[in-house]
Amino acid sequence: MATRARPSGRLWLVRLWLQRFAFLLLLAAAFALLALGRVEAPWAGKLRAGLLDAIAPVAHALSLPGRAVSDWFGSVKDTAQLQRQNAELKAEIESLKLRLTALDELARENGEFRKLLGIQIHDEGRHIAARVIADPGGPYVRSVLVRAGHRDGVRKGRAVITAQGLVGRVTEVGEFTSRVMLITDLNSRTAVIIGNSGERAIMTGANADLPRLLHLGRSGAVAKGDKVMTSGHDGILPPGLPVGDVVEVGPGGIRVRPAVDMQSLGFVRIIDHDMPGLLPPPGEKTAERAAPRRSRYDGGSP
Amino acid sequence: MIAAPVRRVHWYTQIAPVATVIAAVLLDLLWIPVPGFNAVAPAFAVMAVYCWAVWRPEYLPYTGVFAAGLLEDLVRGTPLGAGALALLAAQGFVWAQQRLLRSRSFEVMWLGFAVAALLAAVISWAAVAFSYRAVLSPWPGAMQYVLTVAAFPALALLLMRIERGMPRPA
Repeated sequence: MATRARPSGRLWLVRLWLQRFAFLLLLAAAFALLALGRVEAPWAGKLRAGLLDAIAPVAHALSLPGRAVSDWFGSVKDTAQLQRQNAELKAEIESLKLRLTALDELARENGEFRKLLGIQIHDEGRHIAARVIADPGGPYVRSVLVRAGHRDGVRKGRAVITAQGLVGRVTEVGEFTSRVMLITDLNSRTAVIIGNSGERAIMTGANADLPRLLHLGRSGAVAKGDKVMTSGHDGILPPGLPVGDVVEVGPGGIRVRPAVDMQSLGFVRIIDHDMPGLLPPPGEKTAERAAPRRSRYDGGSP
Repeated sequence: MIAAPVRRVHWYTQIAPVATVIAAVLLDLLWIPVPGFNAVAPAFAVMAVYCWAVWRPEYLPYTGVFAAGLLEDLVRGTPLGAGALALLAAQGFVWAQQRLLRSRSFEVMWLGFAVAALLAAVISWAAVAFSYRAVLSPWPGAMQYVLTVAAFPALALLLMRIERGMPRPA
């Protein structure tokens, strides 16, 4: 039988002190990481991006049961509403056809005027469709993981939208998975313009359902029901994306209900869009970009 | 010198505690189709750390808990170090109260968990607030704490089955 020496009392004490030392050392290391966290080190970014790809299959697998339940309830609800919706949609199509004709005419006229005035506007960019695979934020983070990454042409800072409006922007990019910070996250800042008043503001998330408007010039000019859109003044998000409606104006601040229901995100679109006049992030060369691009500006060279 | 037999530890016994803590961290990725639930979903990792720290502390190294905490931060997108601090605090609490918690009834263990989870929740809240340099609302964390304490028996019973299935040292 194999044997070993029984640890003496002194050795046991040394081991106990080493354990305590290791515990305190790890606590200190965790605190140091936290203190240095504000300075986003490149290695931390790479680690986060690499991990996104590693956990993507797990996230996808764990989302399947929930998706199945959600889809089943959705299909039951859909069947019940199908007939009524069909009639409503037919009427809506007729109405939209008329509006489309008018919009085509307005777009043509608008183009003519732009040519006359020599205005250059940037295009809407390429859209990358992506499925939401997880919502792992916990109490202090509002983010989702989406199934699209570098190889699909996704890059950090890109706007993420649905048909209803702005969802957030890309904060971490893996090879085939990305993390999207929602506009409701505490760290989210979006330059917006308020529809009726033309007032500019910064919309900030509050880890709650309703983000707040800050830095308004004349807050009296904002009223409940006003539409909020991106202004593009942050140099990150394209202008004109619907963000939501003002739902609260009072001493507690001005709050916005996002146009997108963040609780039921299924598919999103990532806008591959460059803001004019901005340099690419350090280490990124325009020629090395993953996805083929269209020209940045109407009437301008790329 | 007195010689003692070498304790042969089965590989399953050695890896099960850390592996289940990591699996509990990955449970954060579970998609629950209830609006708003994912923001306050129970903190499974704290439950796993607490259970193993009480039952088999010798197979739950601090380094493993630290790594699981970092993984939790990477999965959630929270500041690096917040999860590790919270999990280490829960483990440290059990270590300090080992005599009180070991070989007691499940009710005492549950009560002990309520204290350990409160400690972890407060540290997590303070760590994120410190990192963001912002005052965070404590309510989402408080809601998560209530759900975590309520869900503890379910995960504890599952882990208990794993623990009882572990081969004893030869």
